[in-house]
Amino acid sequence: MAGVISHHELEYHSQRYAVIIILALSLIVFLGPLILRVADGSPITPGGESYTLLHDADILLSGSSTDTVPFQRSVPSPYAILLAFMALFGVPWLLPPLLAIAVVMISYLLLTATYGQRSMALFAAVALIISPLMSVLATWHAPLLLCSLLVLGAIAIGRFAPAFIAAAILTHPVGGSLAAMAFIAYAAYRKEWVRSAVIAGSSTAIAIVTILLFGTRPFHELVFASWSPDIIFELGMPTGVSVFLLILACYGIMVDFTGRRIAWFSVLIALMLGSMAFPSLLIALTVIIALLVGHAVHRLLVVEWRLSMLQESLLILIGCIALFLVITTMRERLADDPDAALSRTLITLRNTERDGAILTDPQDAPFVRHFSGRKPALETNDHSDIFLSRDAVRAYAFMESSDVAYVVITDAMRDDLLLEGEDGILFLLQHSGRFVPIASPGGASVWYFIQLERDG
Amino acid sequence: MEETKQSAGTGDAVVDGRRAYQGYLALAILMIIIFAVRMSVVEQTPYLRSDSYLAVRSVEHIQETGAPLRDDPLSVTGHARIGNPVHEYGLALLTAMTPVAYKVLPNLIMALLLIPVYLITRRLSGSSFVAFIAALLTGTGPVLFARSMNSVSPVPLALLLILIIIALLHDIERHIFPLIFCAIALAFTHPLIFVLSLSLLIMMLLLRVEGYGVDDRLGELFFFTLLLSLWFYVLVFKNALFEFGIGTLWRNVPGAYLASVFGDISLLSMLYGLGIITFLFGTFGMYHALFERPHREAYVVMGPVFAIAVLIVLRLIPIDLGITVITPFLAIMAAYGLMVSVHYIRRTKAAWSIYPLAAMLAVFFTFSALLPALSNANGELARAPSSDQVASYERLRDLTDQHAVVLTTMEEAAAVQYFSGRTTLTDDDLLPVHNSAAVMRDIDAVYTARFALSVAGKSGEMGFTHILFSEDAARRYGRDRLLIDDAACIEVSDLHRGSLLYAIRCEEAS
Repeated sequence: MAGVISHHELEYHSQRYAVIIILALSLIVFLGPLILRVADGSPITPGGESYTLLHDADILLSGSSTDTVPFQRSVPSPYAILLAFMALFGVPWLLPPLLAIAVVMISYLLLTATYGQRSMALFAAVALIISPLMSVLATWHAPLLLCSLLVLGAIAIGRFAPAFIAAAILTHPVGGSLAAMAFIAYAAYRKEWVRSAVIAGSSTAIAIVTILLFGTRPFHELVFASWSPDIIFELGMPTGVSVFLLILACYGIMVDFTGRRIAWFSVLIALMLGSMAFPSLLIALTVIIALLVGHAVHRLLVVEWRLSMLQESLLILIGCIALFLVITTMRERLADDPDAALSRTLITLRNTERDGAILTDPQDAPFVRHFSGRKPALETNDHSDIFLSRDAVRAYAFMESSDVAYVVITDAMRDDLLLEGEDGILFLLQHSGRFVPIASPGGASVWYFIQLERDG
Repeated sequence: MEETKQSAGTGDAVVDGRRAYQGYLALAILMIIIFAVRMSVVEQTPYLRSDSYLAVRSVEHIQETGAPLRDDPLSVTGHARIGNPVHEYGLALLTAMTPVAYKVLPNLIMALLLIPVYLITRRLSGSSFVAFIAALLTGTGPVLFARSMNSVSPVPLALLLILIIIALLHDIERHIFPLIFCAIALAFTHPLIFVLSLSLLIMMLLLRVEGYGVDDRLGELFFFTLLLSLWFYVLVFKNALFEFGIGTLWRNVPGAYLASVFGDISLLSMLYGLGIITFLFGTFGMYHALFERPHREAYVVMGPVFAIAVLIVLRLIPIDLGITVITPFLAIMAAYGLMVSVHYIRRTKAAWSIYPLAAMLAVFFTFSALLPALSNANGELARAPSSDQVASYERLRDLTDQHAVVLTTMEEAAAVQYFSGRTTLTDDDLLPVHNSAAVMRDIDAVYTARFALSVAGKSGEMGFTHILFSEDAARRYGRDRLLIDDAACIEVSDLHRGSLLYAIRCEEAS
């Protein structure tokens, strides 16, 4: 029974237009948010982690072996090296979209080679492009995307799998190690013992080198620190999986994997549970879901439903859902930190005379380091109760010990971190006489803190 | 011989036709009685349930501007309203003709529920009398009877649509257009569409487990309604979902207050809410259809029962809403269970006891269903503001300026906003509230405060200028006034028959 379109017709169109469609959609979805951010006046690249890596890249480019704004990490990650290379051409922001397009294209080619159905691979690639996680990875600087590309390389060129996996571990220790385990398990399942041993040996060696080189910071992510069941995008997890794509994936299993349904559902559930423990697995979950969505949409198009009217309505609905996902993720990226107000304020503070740290929201620490070139007084939430403190003596003692020169208060801090009304640090800023307000070009408020020893 | 057979066949058809006619007549009379009783109860007050006034304001806003109430100036914490406006648009249309629609519509729809219940049961049992019993048990279910009697809610319409869909499922081919229409209408009316989706899934599982073939069209309908409703509700509640995550399902009610809003589930509450006969015979009917004599039609009815039971146990649905939705389906199974019991007794030597047992059951039904239903209806009436309360709200409007922010109990806040036109700190719509736990805790703290200073402090923090202490607050906090010490900066005014208004003037005094 033919559905909305015949299989052969679909394959014919896919063969002609698939690559163009994937590239065009990737450019719109991945570059769209960056263009909108520029139009909005915000820094082009969103995300806190992005600015930590940009800071690492800056240090590499400056050729300095010592960090002017001290930070725990002393050796840059391979991603930061690649980022520094892109920065040489003045386009560091282009790295995530390029890597994302590469990941999508390689996934498409791999699926086409594996299943022999270009149309299915095309729909899977489209599902991957519009997935919320990809929207984040394609705009933020994140080593996970490079790691994914290397893992895909390992799948595509099996002979060099150990080398690719080793590089993946070096790039993202958690993601690379999990991929190595998956490769070892697969090789063992195929009874390829030599291959399995080579991957295991090289992975272990690289993991040890990584720990020695990078210290504890990347490695502590390996530890099962906190179980987070929030992996659904529509329930407020920006890097989660979309519930719509998940339902379509379940439909894909039901209609296209007769006899292997339990195995596929088991893989899906295992990856979902794994993602709750190791967020790096979300990329694997996203790719598997995209593959299943590809199957689902392909079947929806080529097999006729008994209620054909519902079938056509459903295809329109799926189009609406795709549009919803693209618009929502774009809006999310547009709203990501840092915004124009914060970046302008921090850039202004780069050129002020007084040395010293900046006290602001700990989440903004990477932005402080990147834009102002100063040290953030708070990097974690450990001492963020200082904002709520009504004890002036304790607040001053903390600020003096942290060598605070400026206090920056953003609108987001007023909503989430500070007391309503004029209490806590807001009261001290206005009434204690130890703070001098400074005109700021951005929307954030800035105060200069008078240190008794330093300023007399 | 042939002629005799033919005339006998015609005679049977005449008898069947007469029985069917009598059944429909009895159903019509029952519906009229149920509707009349419900209307006579709600006519005892000219007002609606307090929490309905939020919807009423939204309906009036639609009538005035054409848009639903989204930026509400009368709530400090809940000014950015989130919700599905489709039902409110329908109401705006109907109430524009006559405001009586607020009272008539839910009660009329609740009476109409009996038609699909009757039809489903008649198909299941083949008996008009059994179908009538199911309609009777549905119409007099203690919680269902009182539910939405005096409030503006899309639940009756959603429940009617669910029942129509279930009634049409026996012949999908023939009823495809009404089915799709009802599914789409339900998706846009109330999140109960998810109950239908879950019901269809359970239905398909039951049919497959029992070896019945599952119609592909059932799966197609399930998949379509699921995706459509999910998309629609994610669009409508997107902001709340992104901010509160899964807490949106609990309407952003803080954990400590969940039990008071969603209700506590217990066997006793289920027995009381459903009616003992409905509960016991319904359970027996389901057991019989599952294990004794598998019955395909019964699985269609059991799907929603299991679906709602799961949602009630997981507290994904308020218990009174759960009981309301489960009542018609359990009533159908109860009528089926009663029929099975009667057939069984007829085959025993105690066949003579059927009539005495029926009489006893009727008496028991009166005490276990009819009286609790009327009692619940009175309880529902008590949730509407009294004339004294409305008079005090109107006096409040006279005593305060239009910039006043009044702290009230959450339950009566919507009525205060409507009748006084004054802004309240919050109301029972917690979805737009950023820090609902803190707001609810602070309201309790103000009503139970002993020192004027702490009340003044909260006033500065939360931004209210007045406190209303009404009958509702007296009932909730078990006192007749605030316990704060005498403070020069808090001025007390008697609004109307014991309702007090505290004006906070501490800042001005200092």
